[in-house]
Amino acid sequence: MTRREFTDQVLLPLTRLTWEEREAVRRELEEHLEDRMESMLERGWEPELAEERCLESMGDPAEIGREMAKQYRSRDQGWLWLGRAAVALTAVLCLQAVLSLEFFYTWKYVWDSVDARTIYVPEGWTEILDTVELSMALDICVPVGNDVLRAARVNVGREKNCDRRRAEVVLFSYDRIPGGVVSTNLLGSITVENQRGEQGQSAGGWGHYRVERTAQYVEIESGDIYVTLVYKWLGKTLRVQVPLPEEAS
Amino acid sequence: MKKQTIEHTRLLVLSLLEGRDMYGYQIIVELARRSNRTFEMKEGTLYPVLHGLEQEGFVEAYRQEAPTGRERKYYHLTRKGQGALREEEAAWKRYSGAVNDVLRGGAEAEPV
Repeated sequence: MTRREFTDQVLLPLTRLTWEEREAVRRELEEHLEDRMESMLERGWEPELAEERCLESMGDPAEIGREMAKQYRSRDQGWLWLGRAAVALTAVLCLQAVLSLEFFYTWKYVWDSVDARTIYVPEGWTEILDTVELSMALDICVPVGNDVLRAARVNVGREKNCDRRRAEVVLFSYDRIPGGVVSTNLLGSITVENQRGEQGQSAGGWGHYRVERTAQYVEIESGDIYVTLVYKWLGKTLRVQVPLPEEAS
Repeated sequence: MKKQTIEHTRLLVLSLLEGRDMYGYQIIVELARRSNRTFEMKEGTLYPVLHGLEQEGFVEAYRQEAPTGRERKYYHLTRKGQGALREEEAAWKRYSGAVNDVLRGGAEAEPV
């Protein structure tokens, strides 16, 4: 056995000591061996035999290590309690997180993002029209960069005190990855045009950073069969035609 | 290492450190010298005792250059350690006195 192997065996059970403390124990034992060795050499021992006897005189390294570890048992208890306290604290924090509104809303937002991909906007649902004359469910999805624009319904109807008919397109935007963050710029930059190129308006909307919803409306005339969504993106103009309900023609 | 051995070693180490601060190897040499080599122990077993005393606050350790010119870890008996030494000394005297009493009584009881 070498000195290194001897000290390694002593240090093996000292799991609760820091690296610095373990190395300090090793150093102390090595210094003892050094002193013992020097004494034996002075008395005329052969170096090899002296080294062997030095290590023998120290005793069983495993037993020394076990006894040494016992001396730090109170510290072990401290670590044990600290560990238990950490587990308890983690459990409390997890529970608090589950119950907290923030946690609830995080999952709600992720769910909204998933839901927006397939959600069915019910007939009669409108953002701005007072009377809905015709309505048609849509599922037009257009990828725009990392986001997706989805037209989910088109309504035709009127507002009070307004003779002209309007087409309203209900739009959603969400990230391609479910739960991902969507650009708020997407729906804000879209406009709608009628067949004569006249621009419509936004009816405002709702959303958070994982899903956005809006309605765009434009005045239409009898015989119109579509309106066009227009979006400028990276220097290109994207145009998507949205058919109007057939009875409108 | 037996429990009794450790307890006796504690007393002997505390007693040796009362005179002056010493490092491990010095304690072993001094112990053998003062006991006329009666208390020769496996030398490594001294260190769990020293570290135990340190954990209890009976001794304090510091590093200092030894007369050999090399730096060593010295142990110093604290005030708390002096109190513990007094208690252990008293306990040992009671114990050894009782053993002596028994031995003397046993010798007297033996038929001649």
